Amino acid sequence: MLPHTLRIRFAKRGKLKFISHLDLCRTMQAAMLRANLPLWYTEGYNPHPRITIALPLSVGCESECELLDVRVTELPDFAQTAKKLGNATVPELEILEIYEPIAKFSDIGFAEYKIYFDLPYSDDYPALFSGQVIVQKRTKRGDVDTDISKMIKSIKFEAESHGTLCRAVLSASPDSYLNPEYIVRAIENSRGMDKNSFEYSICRMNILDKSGKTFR
Amino acid sequence: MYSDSLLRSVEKPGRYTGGEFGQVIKSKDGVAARVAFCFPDTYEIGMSNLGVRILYGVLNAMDDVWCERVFAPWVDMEAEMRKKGIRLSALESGDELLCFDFVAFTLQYELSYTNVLNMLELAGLPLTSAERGDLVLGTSPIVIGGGPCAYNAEPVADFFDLFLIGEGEEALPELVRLYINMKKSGASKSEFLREAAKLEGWYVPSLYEIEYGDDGTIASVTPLDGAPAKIKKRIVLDLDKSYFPDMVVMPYIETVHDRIMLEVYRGCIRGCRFCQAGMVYRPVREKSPEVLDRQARVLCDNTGYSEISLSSLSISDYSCLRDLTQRLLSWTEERKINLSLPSLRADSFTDELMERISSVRSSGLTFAPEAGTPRLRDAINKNITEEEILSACRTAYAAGKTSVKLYFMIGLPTETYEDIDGIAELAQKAVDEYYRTPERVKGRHVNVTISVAGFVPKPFTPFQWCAQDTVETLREKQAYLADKLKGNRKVRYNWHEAKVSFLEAVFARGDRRLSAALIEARRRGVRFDSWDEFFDYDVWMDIFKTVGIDPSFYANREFGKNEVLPWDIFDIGVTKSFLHREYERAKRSEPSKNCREGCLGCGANRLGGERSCCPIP
Repeated sequence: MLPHTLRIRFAKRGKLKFISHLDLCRTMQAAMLRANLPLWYTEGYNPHPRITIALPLSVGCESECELLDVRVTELPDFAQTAKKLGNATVPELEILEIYEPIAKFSDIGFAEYKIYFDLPYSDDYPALFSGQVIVQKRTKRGDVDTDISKMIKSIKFEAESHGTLCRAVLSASPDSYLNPEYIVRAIENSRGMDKNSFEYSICRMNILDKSGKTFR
Repeated sequence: MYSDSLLRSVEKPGRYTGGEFGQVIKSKDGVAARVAFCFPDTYEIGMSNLGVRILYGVLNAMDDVWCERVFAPWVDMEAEMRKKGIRLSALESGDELLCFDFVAFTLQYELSYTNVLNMLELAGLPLTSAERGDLVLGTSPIVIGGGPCAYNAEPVADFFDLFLIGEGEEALPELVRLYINMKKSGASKSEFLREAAKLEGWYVPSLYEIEYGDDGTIASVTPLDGAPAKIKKRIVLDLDKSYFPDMVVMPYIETVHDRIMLEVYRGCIRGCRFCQAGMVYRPVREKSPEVLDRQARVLCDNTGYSEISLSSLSISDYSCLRDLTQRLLSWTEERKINLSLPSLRADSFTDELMERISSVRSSGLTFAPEAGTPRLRDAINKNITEEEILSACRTAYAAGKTSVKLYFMIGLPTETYEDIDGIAELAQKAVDEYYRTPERVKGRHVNVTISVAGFVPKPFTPFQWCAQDTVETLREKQAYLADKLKGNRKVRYNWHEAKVSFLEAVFARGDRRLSAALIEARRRGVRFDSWDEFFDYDVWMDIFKTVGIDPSFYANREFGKNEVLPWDIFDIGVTKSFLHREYERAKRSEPSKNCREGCLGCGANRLGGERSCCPIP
């Protein structure tokens, strides 16, 4: 029997931001078992469900659009399943939509983020991101100074009640993924500050395809 | 509540966030008592503890009580908390421990005592019951303790207001109920403690005056204010009817045991003479297979866990094991739920059992001969033959296993070097057995791991009087065994650090005078003693020197038959005279019958209990 794939769009809010990608996979698997989803299991010695979450989010980031693909033996009623699954998770993991996907995760091009940081708004923020943007990127060869400007599709800043809100669209394709934390690092660098010098929060708002339209 | 920037700066922030599926949230204004249930080790270890799961459920089943969880912060978190002046708080509400009615610690092992003190300090609470003062109920938390170490909690007696001796399903709600009633009438802590001392199973250490003789042993124990001379252990009589949590708080991060723990029975029929659990959890009380099957189904539905572990001291001694596994396998296989049976005795490990546990998946196989020769196995009452051990290995090999693990102890009473030779020989025989098993996996080598722990004399065991080998002797024996196994590439040899076993023995058989050492240890920042990377023997020896305590008085001294032992005020059912009879038999290397073969009159049947093999007194 050929399995079907279900795509689950969900939000990851509040304390859940501190849950790593792997832990999130285990958490979602347990929730799907509690909700009685008709999970398909791999064949072989150690049968297990097949679960993939697009674009692993780094610990500390929230999201309004996590996408999880899971194989099922039959296609259930989407709305009902979303409700059942919602009851089997905490409110911070809100199930937003369940559907049968057409596009593959490898077709993802960009992700859109809201980055709020606790520094007063300043007119020089856009200028910081107009030319080269050098940050220390962690690689297998150690920390390497890297220019991330080509991975920033767009970036805007606006004043908020206490701090600054940044909206950024960053590369998120399989061969080029920019962790939104680097935007914060770039701002820290520009002010000569250490890591964790100010409070900030990052939330992924949307996932886009290579043409910049919402990915589904 | 811990801030985002604090959580961003520590490893594994998931230890401190709370908010898991299954956690209980109540309105703080709507409850009459709040309990902070503290596990003095990391989140990963504490969340795997069945007792925590049960008591969290029991207390939260009371409408007017809210129980929350607290674990020991890891050292990186502790450093940040101290630097920023942040106090320890509970996971559910994020409220500081100071505003709780009870701070309840479960004492699972002696080496967690320094974590208890560290957590009290991080909570902003004075360490001792006396320093916390005699306030009106509701102004400062009552600090209570329970768990296996409560059977001799004298080394930490000064830090606690109350201890529970025995099982908590009924005793804990009774205490909280008494508290709620007395809080309403504006009673003080001392008034409450005097009343609590009248409840069965509760021990109020401040109500006992201890005097010591010239030789350092206890001369007398005097109960004050009408406190009972003996505190009788609490047990749940009927496990089928006792409270059982139908939900588990589901951790986000990986914990030690991410699975359902199905407690099949309490107690043990065996009576191994070194084993405390085998004595203090008597009498044996079994659950029926129908009830267990029903509870397992509910838990699988509610948790989404994919593994059920049948837990008890020796699972193959459960009288309905075949019935139970058949019931469980009838639905677990289809749901891809793995069944695991830890604590298997080698003499019960048959082909049939092997087939059943591997019908989904099975974890590695471990057997515990404990001693290397039949003579010493008789002396410790392990009652297992070499043929049974090897036959268990054979069954495992025939089923496709290429490795087995064997547990031993070194430094057991009556041990000679012949017995240590026996460990090496038995390991080699387990290797040879592999090549003599025709059904073995061809073309692969066998690996036999032997894990050797140091013997620690424990209260309420036939060996409670025994002197522990000195660290030097234990090390000589370990080196001797290592030498015996040198060059043997099929046997892997692991051993426990002798210095750790020594400290365990000191606190296991210690008395109230040791509280001075614990206070000094806290002053020096000692914690996480059960973690190799933090255990520091030299610091401990210096602490004992500073406070003028000779630790070998507790660890390396043979206690006298007529000596008053620090734990004598507890009645655990099993009598002191039975324990001594068993000790005498051990000296003659004579084994004893197990409870099913015949009653030895240990005394535990006086406590009652359903579905037990005990004769009615």
